[in-house]
This record gives sequence, C-alpha cells and structure tokens, in this order.
Amino acid sequence: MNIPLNIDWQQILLHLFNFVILTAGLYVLLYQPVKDFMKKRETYYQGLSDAAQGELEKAQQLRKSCDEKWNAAEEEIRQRKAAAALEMEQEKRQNLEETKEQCESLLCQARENADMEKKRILESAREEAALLAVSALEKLSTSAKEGSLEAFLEEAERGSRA
Amino acid sequence: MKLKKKRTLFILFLAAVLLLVFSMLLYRPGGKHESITEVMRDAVLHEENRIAFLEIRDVNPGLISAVSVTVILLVAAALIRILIIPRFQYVPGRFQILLEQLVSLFDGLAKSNSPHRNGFLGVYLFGAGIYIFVGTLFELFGFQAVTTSGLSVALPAPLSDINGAIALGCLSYLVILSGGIAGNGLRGVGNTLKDFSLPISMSFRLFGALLSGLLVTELVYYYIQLSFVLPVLVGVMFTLLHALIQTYVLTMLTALFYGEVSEPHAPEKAKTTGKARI
Repeated sequence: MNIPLNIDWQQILLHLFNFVILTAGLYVLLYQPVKDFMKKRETYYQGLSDAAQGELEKAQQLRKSCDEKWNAAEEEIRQRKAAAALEMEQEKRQNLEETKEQCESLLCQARENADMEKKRILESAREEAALLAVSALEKLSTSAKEGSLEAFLEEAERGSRA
Repeated sequence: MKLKKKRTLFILFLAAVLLLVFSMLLYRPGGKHESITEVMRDAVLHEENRIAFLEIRDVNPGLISAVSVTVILLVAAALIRILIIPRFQYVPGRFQILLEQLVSLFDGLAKSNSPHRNGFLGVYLFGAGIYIFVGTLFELFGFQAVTTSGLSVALPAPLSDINGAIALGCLSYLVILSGGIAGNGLRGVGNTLKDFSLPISMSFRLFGALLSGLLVTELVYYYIQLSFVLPVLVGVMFTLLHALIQTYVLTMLTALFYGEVSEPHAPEKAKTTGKARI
C-alpha cells in the first residue's frame, strides 16, 4: 500500500520499539534509582523530623508536668502556710489563755498567801500581844509585887509599836 | 592596560569580520549534487537519501538518529547509574541536583496533572521528555551517515522523521487510553476515544515543529554564504528553544489528557439527584 508522506508502518514499529527500549532502560537505570534515593533521603529527614517532633512533645509534656508539680508545690506551700498560721494562731491563743489562767492562779495563790500571811501575822501579833499582855501582866504582877505602874505602861506602849 | 586590551580585542574582531566577508565573497562552491528543491523535498519525505539499517533494510535517516540517541542515552544512563548514583549524598552536589530536578520535574508534572494515577505516567513522561529534548539537540552535532546512494548526510532529529513523530504521538495516545481504562474502565475508553484526533494532532505537531527547524537549518546550510555567523542563531538557539518547547508541549499534553481521562467520576446517582433538584 502506497501511503502518502512516505509513511512506513515497519519504521513506525521500529521507532516504537526503540522508544520503548529507551524508556525501559531510562526507568531502570536512572528514574527509579534517583527516585529511590530521593525517597530514602525523604524518609531519613522525615525520621529526623519525627524524632525532633517527638523530643519536642516530650519536652512540652515534661514542662507541663513540671508546671503542674510547681503549681501543686506552690498550692501545698500555700496550704501549709495557712495551716501553720492557723496552728500558730491557735497555739498563741492557747498560750495566752494558759498564761492568763496561770496568772490568775498565781494571783489567787498570792492572794491566798497574802491572806494567810495576814492571818498569820495577825495571829502572831495577837499571840504576841497576848504574850506581851501575859508578860505585862506577869511584869505587872511582878512590879505590883516590886514596883511601879509607870514601868508597866511603858512596857505596854513598846509592845503596841512592835 | 585596559585600553591596550580593548584595542587588541577590537583588532581581532575586525580581522575576523574581514576574513568572513572575504571568504563569503571569494568562495566558489565545488560539487553540488542536489538542488534546494530536492534537498527540501528529501528532508520532508526521505525518498532519496535512505540508509541501510544493520544491512537488513533501507530506512530513513531519522530512524538511525533515533537508535543513535537511544544508544547514547542508555550508555550515559548506565554510566551515571554505575559511577554517580552510588555516590549520591544527602546534601547533593550540582550534578546530583540536576538529576534530581530532572526526575522531579517529570514526576511532578505527572502528579500535578493526574493526582489519582501517576506512577506509570511519570516514567513515560520522563522517557518521552528526555527523548524529545536530546533527540532534537542531536541534530546540532551533525553526525554524518552514508546513504545507500553513497552520499554523506547529517543525521537529523529523530522526530523530524514523520514515522518517529507518528510513533511517539500514537504511543502517547495509547498511554492516555491505558490511563482511561485503568481509571474508569469502559467509560475511560469512551472518554479517550472522544479525542480521536489526538494521535494525529500530537504526531503532526511534533513532526511539523521539528521539521520546520530542520528545513530552516537545511536552507541555511545549503548556501555557503549563509553558513557564517547565522547558524549560531538559527542552528543553536532555535534548536535549543524548540527542543525545550516541544518537550514541554508533548509531556504537558499527555499528562493533561491522561489526568482527565483517568480521573474517577462521581457515581450516577449523585448526578440524577442533582438534576432532580434542579
């Protein structure tokens, strides 16, 4: 068959065959190895990126947990401070009350002591006065026996001063 | 010092221009076997200058160019595979960047135009892109081959042969069709067959673009007076430009159509409910 423009089916097929061989060869020798290498590099850098991302997330989690611990510690400190202040206040109040009670008991004790001392002094003064009176009476009886009334009075006056 | 250097350069430039002018004026061509009409006609149809392919049959010079390009590319790829790829670093050097960019370019083109199914498309675009680009630049080197009639001809770009262009255009269409079948089954076949003019347009676009380059180059080289200075623009820059453009056009078109026909369609129910609502 005479095809115009010198078109030749056999040569077309030869061109096709030639091109198919070229494409297959380029695919095996160039395209696939270069693509494989690019993929390998991409995987490598993706791995690095993932690792960095993981480290970043870990660091963020660590920071978050540190922040939480820090907040918990601050809260605990605040609570302990509040408890300590409360306890101190209670202790202060208790001490104050105890001191007050102690003071009152000491005051009572002192009053009692003073009363007792007063009683004792009064008693002793009474006893002394009685003794003085007895001795005066004795002296009086003695002066009546031997002496004078004036000596008795002086003796009585001295006794009252003491 | 600068002035002296400038003066020397100017004298050299002037001498070169004078030499060119004299050679253009004084040169008388020797044996010219073909007229310009014959050259042009043969560049398009390859009826006269045919080359014996492995002593089996006579073929167009374009096929010899295609095989040469394939051999050169495969040898280069094998050398790169053996010597350079095993030494690839995670922080790449210049050549490694070039290779990676090359692969990424076609892979990215496949992925961006056909997000659903692009593994095979990337490979095909890589092969076709490299083939068109290197094949087009191949004509710049002017490798010589002897025709069956004993003439010496410069090997053209493989795709300036209409058979090469038809082969690549039809193969691209088959690749698109395979994408349609893989993506949508029979519906994909229907979508692909709708664009039945695609293989013809792809083939003849490639053929026309590369043939025009070839014809202009043939024309320029035919007249010896035009062979000075002008080929730098016509031969090198135009060839480089249309190598880039044709690579981009064919790979982009193939990727676009492949993506279009392999895109999964929404089920019929959704469409009918949509219509019912309207």
